[in-house]
Formats: sequence, C-alpha cells, structure tokens
Amino acid sequence: MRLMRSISRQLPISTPQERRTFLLASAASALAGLLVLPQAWYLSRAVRSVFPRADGAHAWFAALTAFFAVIAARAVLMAVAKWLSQRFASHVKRRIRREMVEQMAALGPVEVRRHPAGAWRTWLTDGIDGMDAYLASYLPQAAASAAVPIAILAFAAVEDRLTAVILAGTVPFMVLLLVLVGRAAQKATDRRFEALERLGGHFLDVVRGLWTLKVFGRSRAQVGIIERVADDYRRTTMKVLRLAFLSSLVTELFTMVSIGLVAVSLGIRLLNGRMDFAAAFVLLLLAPEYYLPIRNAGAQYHAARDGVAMLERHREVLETPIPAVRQRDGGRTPFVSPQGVAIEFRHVTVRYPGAEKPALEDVSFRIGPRELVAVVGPSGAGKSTLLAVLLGFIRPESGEVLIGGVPLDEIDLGAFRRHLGLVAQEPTWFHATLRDNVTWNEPRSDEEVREALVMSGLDHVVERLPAGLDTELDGERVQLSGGERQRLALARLVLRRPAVALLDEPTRSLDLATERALEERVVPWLRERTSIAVVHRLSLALAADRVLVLDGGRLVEEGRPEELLLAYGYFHAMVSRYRGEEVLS
Amino acid sequence: MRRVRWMWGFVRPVVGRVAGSTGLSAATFVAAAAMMATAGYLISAAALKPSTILMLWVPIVGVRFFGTSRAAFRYLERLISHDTVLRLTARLRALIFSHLERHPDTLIGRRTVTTLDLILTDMERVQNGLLRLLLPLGSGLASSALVGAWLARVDLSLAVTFALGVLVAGIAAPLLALWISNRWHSSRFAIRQRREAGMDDLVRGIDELLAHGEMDEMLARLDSWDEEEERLTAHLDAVRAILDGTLYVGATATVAAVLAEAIELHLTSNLPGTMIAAVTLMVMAAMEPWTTAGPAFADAFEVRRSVAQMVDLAPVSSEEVGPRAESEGTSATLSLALASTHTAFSTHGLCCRRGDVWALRDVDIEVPRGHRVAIVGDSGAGKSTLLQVALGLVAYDKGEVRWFGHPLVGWSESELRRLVTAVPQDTYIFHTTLRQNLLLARSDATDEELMMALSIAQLEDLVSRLPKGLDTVLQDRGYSLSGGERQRLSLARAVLSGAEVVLCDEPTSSLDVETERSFMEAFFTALRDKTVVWVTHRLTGMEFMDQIFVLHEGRVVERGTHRELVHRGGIYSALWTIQREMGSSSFKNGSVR
Repeated sequence: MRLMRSISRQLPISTPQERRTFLLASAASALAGLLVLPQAWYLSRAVRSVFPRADGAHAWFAALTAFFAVIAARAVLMAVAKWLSQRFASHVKRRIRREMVEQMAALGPVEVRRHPAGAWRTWLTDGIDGMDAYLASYLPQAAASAAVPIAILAFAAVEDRLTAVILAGTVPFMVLLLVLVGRAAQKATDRRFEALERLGGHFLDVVRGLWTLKVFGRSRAQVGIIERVADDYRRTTMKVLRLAFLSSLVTELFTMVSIGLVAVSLGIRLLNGRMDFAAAFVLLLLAPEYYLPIRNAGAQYHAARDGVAMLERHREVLETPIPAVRQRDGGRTPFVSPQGVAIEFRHVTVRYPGAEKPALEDVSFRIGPRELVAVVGPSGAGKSTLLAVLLGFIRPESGEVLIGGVPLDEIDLGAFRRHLGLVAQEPTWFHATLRDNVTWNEPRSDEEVREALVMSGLDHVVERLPAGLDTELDGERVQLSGGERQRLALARLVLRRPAVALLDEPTRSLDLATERALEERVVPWLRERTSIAVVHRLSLALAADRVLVLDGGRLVEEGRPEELLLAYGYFHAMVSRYRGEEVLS
Repeated sequence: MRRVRWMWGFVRPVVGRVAGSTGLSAATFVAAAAMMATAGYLISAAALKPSTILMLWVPIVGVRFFGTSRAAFRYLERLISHDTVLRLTARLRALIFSHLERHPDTLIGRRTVTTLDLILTDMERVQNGLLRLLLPLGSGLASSALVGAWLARVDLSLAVTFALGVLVAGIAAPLLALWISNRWHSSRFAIRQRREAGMDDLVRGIDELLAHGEMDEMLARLDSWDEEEERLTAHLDAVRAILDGTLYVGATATVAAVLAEAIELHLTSNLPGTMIAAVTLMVMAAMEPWTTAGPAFADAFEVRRSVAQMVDLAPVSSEEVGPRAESEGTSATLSLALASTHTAFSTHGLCCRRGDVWALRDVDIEVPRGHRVAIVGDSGAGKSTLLQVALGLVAYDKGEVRWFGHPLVGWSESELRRLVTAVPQDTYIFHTTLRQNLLLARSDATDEELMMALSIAQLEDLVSRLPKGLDTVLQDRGYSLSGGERQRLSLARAVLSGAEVVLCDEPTSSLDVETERSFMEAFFTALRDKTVVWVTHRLTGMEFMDQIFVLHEGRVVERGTHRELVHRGGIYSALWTIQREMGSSSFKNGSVR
C-alpha cells in the first residue's frame, strides 16, 4: 500500500505530451483489456449455437465472425497500447536523462565528484534503461489491471450472482495472503538481491585487484573463493526463496481453487437446469482473467521497485543544492585583453558542503595581466580549491572574487570561460580523434596544431601512434599514460591561447627531461598572460613571477620567489627540503 | 559456432537441472491447459443434465487436481530454475576469473572502469538469456507437443491446425520480427555505445568541459545521440507492437480455428458436443507460453552480443602466461638451486612487443641476490613492461627470463610468489577491512606481525586513527586512504610477505616531494636486507643503489653505479644535470631568462 501511494505521488509525468501519451496508452490498454468480455461472449455463443442443441444452420458461423471482429479490434488496440506505452517510456527516459545530465553540469565537479564516476555512469545508462518495465508495462497497465476485474465482476453480478459472490469473496483473502506472506517474503528476497549486488561488487573488486592478488600468489585461490562465495550465496538464497515462493504458491493455489470453485458451482447449477450453458461458459472463460492481475503482482512488484528507486535518485539529484556559481544570461562581461585580466580575491572563505573546516580561509590577493603566479603548499592546503573558486565550481561562503573589477557571481560565466584555459590535475582524454581532443573540435590549421604539439612535447607521443593525429582515443586500443595526458592538456591549452591560464600540477606525471624541456618552452608563454599554476615540484615555482604559499587554507606567504627565499619562512623551508633530496643522493 | 560451443561448455554441468526446470515449466502449462479443458468438459457434461451427479465426479476431481498440480509444478519450477541460474552465476564468474587469472594481460586493454563494469552486465544477460529465452522455448515446445498429441487422439485435423498455429504465431512471427529489427538493433547498439562513451567523457571531464565553456556543446551532442536512439527505438517499438498484436491474433485465431473445426466435426461426424468447449479451452491455455515467450525474442539480440563479449573475454582454450599453476620441479630441487645461485633475476636477449611497438629489445639484465638495482628511463622506455614480464603478468616474444637461475615458465606460481613480490605504481585497495588487505600478503600472519609490518611502513598512526582499527573497511563507502598511505600499505604488504625480492614500479610517482622522501626512508629501512629492483624516472636515492640500468626506447643503454654513470656523460648524467638544475634557482636565472 505504501508503495502504491508513493507511486501515485510521483507519477513521472511532467509535460503535456507525456500526459497525453500516458492517458492514451492507459485508455488503449484498458479498452483492449475490457474487450475480453465480448471476446469470451462470442466464443461461448459460437459453442452454444451447436451445443447442447444445434440452433440455426450457421449461427455458429455468425458468432465466430463476430469473435474475429473482436479479436481484430483487440489486437489493434493492444498494438496501439504497446506502441504508446513504449513511446511514453522513451520520452520519460530521455527527459530524465537530459534533466540529470543538465543538473550535473549545473552542479559542477565539486558535487559530482562526491559520487564515484561509476555510480553516475550506472545511473545514466543501466539505471535509466532499467525503468523500462516500470514505465512501459507497469504504469500504463495499471488502469487495465483495475478496470478488467471490476468489469468482469459487474458482468458476473448481472449474469450469475453466485459466481459474482465467489469472485468478490475470494479477493480479500488473496490480498490478505499477499500482504501477510508476501510482504515478509518480499523483504527477505529484496535483501537477497542486495546481497547479490554486493557479490557483483566483490567480483569486480577481485578483477580490478587481480595484479595485486597475482603478485602475492593469491589469485589462483580466488577462483575457488569466487565459486564458493557464490555457491554459499546460492544456498542461503535458495533457503529464502523456498519460503518466498510459497507466497506465490499460495496465491496460485488459491486462484486455481477459486476457478475450480466457479467451474464446479456452475456445473452443479447447470445440472439442476437453473443455468444457461452460454452464460456458464462465458463465466468460466472470464474467471482466469479476473485473477490475472493478482497473480502478476509479484513480478510487477520488482518492476515498480526498480522504477521507483530510479525516480527517487533522479529527484535527489535534481534537489541537490548547487555549490557552483550559476550560469546567468545577460551577466556582465569584464574586459579581457589577450594579455590577461586582473583577478582579485577579497577575504575569500570557502567551505565544501558538509565540511567542518573551511578549505580556504580569508584569502586575499591580486594578480595582473602578464603575470605567472605559482601556488604552493602541502597537500590539503587549499591549492586546488583556489582554482575551483576561480573557475566558478564553488561559491565562496564569504568574500568576493573580482575578474577585471566585476564580481564573479555577476559575471557572464559563459563569456568569461571562453578566455580560460585549464590543465586539470588528472587531464581527461575524450572519445574522439587526438586532433579533436587538442582543438576542441574547432578548425585549426595543421601549422597551429603542430606548433602546439611541439610546445607541449606531445609530438613525440603522436609519432608513436598508429594513425598519428587521426588516432581515435578509446581508452582500450590506445591508452595514454598520465604524463601523456598532461601533455595533451598542455597542447590543448597552448592551442586555445587563453587570456587566463590555470594549471593544476601540470608536470606531476612527467619525467624529468620532459618536465625540464616543457618548462623551458611553456614558462615564457605563460608569462604572456595571466597564469596561475598549482605546483608541488618547486622548479616551476622558482621560475614564477610571484609565489603564493598556502597552508591549512590560509595564505601564509606571498611574494617574488627570490624575496621569499631570503625571508626564511615557509617557502624557504620547502625549497630547502626539496633541495635536501639532492644532498641526500 | 564458437559461441554455441562456448555456451555448451558453460551449461553442460547443469544441463540436467536446465532440462528439469524446462520439464516442470512445460508441466505447468500442460496442467493449466488440462484444468481449463476439464472445466470446459465439466460444464458441458452438466449442461447435458446427466441422471446423476456422480457422472460429474471425475471432471470435478480433475479440475481440482490439475489446478493444484499446476501451482505445485510452478513452485518447483521456480525453485529449480533459480537454483540453476545461481549455479550458473557461480560457474560463469569462476570461469571468467580463472581465465583472467591465467591471462592477466587480457586486462591491459580493459583497465578502464567502464569495460570492467560491463562484464557484470554481460554476465547477467547471458544468464537471463538462458532463463528468458531457452527455458520458455523448451517448455513451450514440450507442452505444445503434449497438447498436440492429445488433440491428435481426439482428431488429427485439430492437432494439425494447432501445430500450424504454434508454428506461425509462436515461432515464425518472433523470428521474422527479430530478423526485421536486427539492423535497427545494431545501429541502436552502436549509438548507445557512443552515448555511453559520451557520458563517460562528461563524468570524467566535467572540470575541463565546464572550464572551457564546452559543456553546452557536450550536452547538445548527448541530446542528439538521445534523439537518434529514440528514433531507432521507435522503429523497434513499432516492430514490438505489431509483433504483440500478431501474436495475440495468431493465438486467438488458432483457438477460433480449432473451435470451428471442432464444431464442423461435431455437426458432420461424431465428435461429442462435450468436447467442443474442452478442446477450445485446452488450445487457449496451450497458446499461453507462446504469447509470453515471443516478446522475449526481442532481447535475443542483446543476449547474442553479450555471449560474444564473454567468448572474447574468456575463450575456451588458450595458452597460459607466466609461471605454471604447479611446476614439474619439486621444492627440494628448488631449494638446492636457491642455495647455490647468486643471481636473483636475469634476462638474456629479452624482446617484448606491445601492440605494434617493441617495448623491449634485447634486454640483458642481471640482479645479484641482496643487491639494490635501479632501472631508470623516461616514460615509454619499457620499464613497466620489464617489470610485468619479470612478474609473469605478460608474455614476452623472445629471449630468456630467469629467477634464481630457473626459467620463469618452469616456476610454480606459489613458489615464485613466495620469493618475489612487488610494490606497484598505484596500490589497489580491496573493499574490505585493513586486516584482510594485509593478510593477502600472508594469510597466517598474527596481529602482532601485522602491527609490526604497519609500524615498519610507518602506518601506526593510521591504525590508531581508523574508527575500528584493523577491522575498518577501506575504500568505497568505507575509509579512504591518501596517496602516501596507500603506498605505505603496499610496503607493509611487501614486508609482511617475507619475499626475498621486491620489485617496485615507480611507487612514489603519485606522491608529493615531502611524502616521497619519508616514504623512501621508510622503504629502504624496512627492506634493508632484501633484493630490491626499483624502477623510476626520477633520480632520487640513486646513491643507495648497487647498480643502475638505464633503459631507452626498450634497450639497455647504460649500466653502472650512480657515480660511474654521472661521470660517463651519457643519458644518465644528462638527466642528473637536469634534476640538479631544476631543484635550484639557477634554472630561473640561467636558462630561462
């Protein structure tokens, strides 16, 4: 019952078109269901015309013709109902997918990363596709499953009271049985299905960690473990199912006994001559149809459960508060020259949703055009958060960020982002050719592309690829290492020629020679615009115009690197530790 | 054909159960048909007003018997078929895993999370395919054969009509639908794959898409794929809708045809009138499996696809990679060999191909026992491949690989793993307790030994910080570890395993400078008296090394100690100069400005 209520509350309809399709589908399927009455009626008339006594010469032929007309109509209605239901499901699924994806874009990485990437992928693909049973069968057929038994009951009440009483009288028992036996059993089954999902998780865990298992000589034993664990699962599950299926056994038995009851009572009254054969035959034909929805309840429960769960997820996602700066139309556009723009943080404090400690606390600084600023500090100091704020991925709790004098939350983000270039900490390759990956699908001359490749050091990588720049990246046949992805992102940045370049540990996975060569080429380029680079290897910091030192979310030092070295503070300590390495070796 | 053989090999052990549940399912349908037929006969016989009710006694009992037996058959069928599917689940997982275990290099092309997740979906489809395609097909055929036999006893022409109905409505129509929709199915599959790749891009690349203002375009692209998918789905839906209507007409028309024939027989020859209703109802119930099984054919496409994926992932027979499960050599001869050999690891003329590229060319390396050896080179030099070959994780093409003087393939897996272990670039943490994550290195370790290993790896703080200590579940919804902690956990595993040789694949590459330093200190203290092979592109701690091999484009180009190599003036000394310069401010003052 609670399920029914929660379903009715969240019927997944939101556009007039969806409502129309849904209503039409429900109507067609209800009508097709109701046609079972004339179908049974004409079938029994056909039999009745020759049995017990033959009526007219070809009365049975007329009845059969009518029967054919009914089944033709019913077939068309069924096909239409099916078609409309599938259309309805298709529309709703597409809308839900679109709404979720758009919401992801609005939420931004800060919120999206709170769930593992695999979870999002599952929701958007299998999760939504798994709603089919719910959207295309369960919902549109709900009207029919209510209407048909009621119509049959009404028909029986007119034709034969006793049958109507039997039909009506058995239902409360069945519902009671379903509720009593079914609920407990259903819960147990649900738990088993959850356990099955965990089992799937265990399998994937073992496959992902295969190399580790292999290295410790544990992998071979896992074959047996996997089989044993799954077998244990089977044994316990079968114990539960033996009970759970009892509920459907009971319903089934009860249905059959009820139909038998109807048949026997009809037979006895036929015997006594108090009943017409045609009427008795119709009722016998209709009795199984009457019980059909109850018999199907079990199968539909699962369809409904999965569908409702996905709708629930969809609603949760849509209702998640957006931590990012919202895109606004008609926002202000600051003047951004190719040399960059003035960026100012004024007492910015940032706290991630649900976090106790702020990630940035009262941070103020100013960066001008043609300036390369390095941000350093231990991990967890808030370096990446600083970039996230500037990118509009998270709104500061207090304080202000000004871009060319315009506050970030009044800015036309879309326009501003056209001037931005980002090298993320874990740069992404996209499913496309390497050329499209570098150019963001924009037309660029081969000359420009080659220049960017050389500058980022990606040219050596391209040489090794079978189809060069036209190699399709797919994550399987062609795999880029971390360092190669970083060079890819750098090439993307260089080709984009942004006024503002943001780099999050851009040389993290590069080997020394590449890093060195890269810095020689890229640093002067970065100096020609407003550039902020988060670094953990200090060589880039030493080459920067200015260094910001963050610790525990606070800006603890700021200045030219050579000044900071002489100040004997945090930066000096970091650099000495960094150099200490070489002393060691 | 390969797929059929594969499926057969996979189903064979449970074939009895599959047959059993098919039989029971058929019995369920037959019982339902028999019940309806008896009920029809009952009311017909009653309508003839026999002199005594005793005449009706047999059909009344029949109705009850078939009714109850139907429910019982159904119950048993569900139990057995679920049991069968669960058995197949266990089997399929073990099958796939044992194949991957013997061929860990299969996973190299499939390291992305997406493809791994798909394994589960495919496995589920293969099982469901059995349950929802083969089982209904089998039970439909069996039950129809029984009903047909009974009809043939009443009158052969009835049986022929019924058989024709089954053939057209039950088999021909779904197959035709499948054939018509095949093309749309494959285009939709392709578009779904594209869309899934797009979703993957969106989830992974959300920062970059947003930051560069490319999100709108991405969303538009996703939407256009959605639109295309919807268009193709509309075609498929139309086929499905028409199939549903056709199946219904076919089934009901069969009933009507049988009825018309029965009436004719009643009027012209001597078919008793009581049989008309009985025959009609019997056929009506007997058509039921076909109207429900038909639509399941729509899934046949996906099932076929998934079976193909499984066959690709775990072909029935293929050559094994790395050491054997059990070796021919006994432990006694091995320990003898161990005592006498001074070389832990050696390769001779080793060549290994990765895709179209030779990752290793003529590599000769020797690692004496108790020595620390570094393998240095830039990315793409073949360092990781060398380690994977050494560990027996990937096959090599030419040359020799020996552990303690014995060829790699002659080793038994368990012996080799006891002597050799590794610390990888990225430590994999299993979604289980910290204790279990450690015990995989040595299953019989006591708590004291675990704590000892953790303290050597400088992870004591972690244990005291974890809410349930050693029994805290890690990863996922559990406690997640920082990069440094993960690598230390790996070190703790290596220490615990007690192996004589530890291979390290750039274990510090994802650590920041400070963490790297403290990790390395912990590492070399913990593994003082072990043989260590340290693969790296950063020249940190090279003075600790007894010998350094420099790999370049798959070849060993230099070898020697740190001091020798620095003074030789080759690649190594160039790298060394760069590293020194980058650590000092001379870089800024000298080379850039």
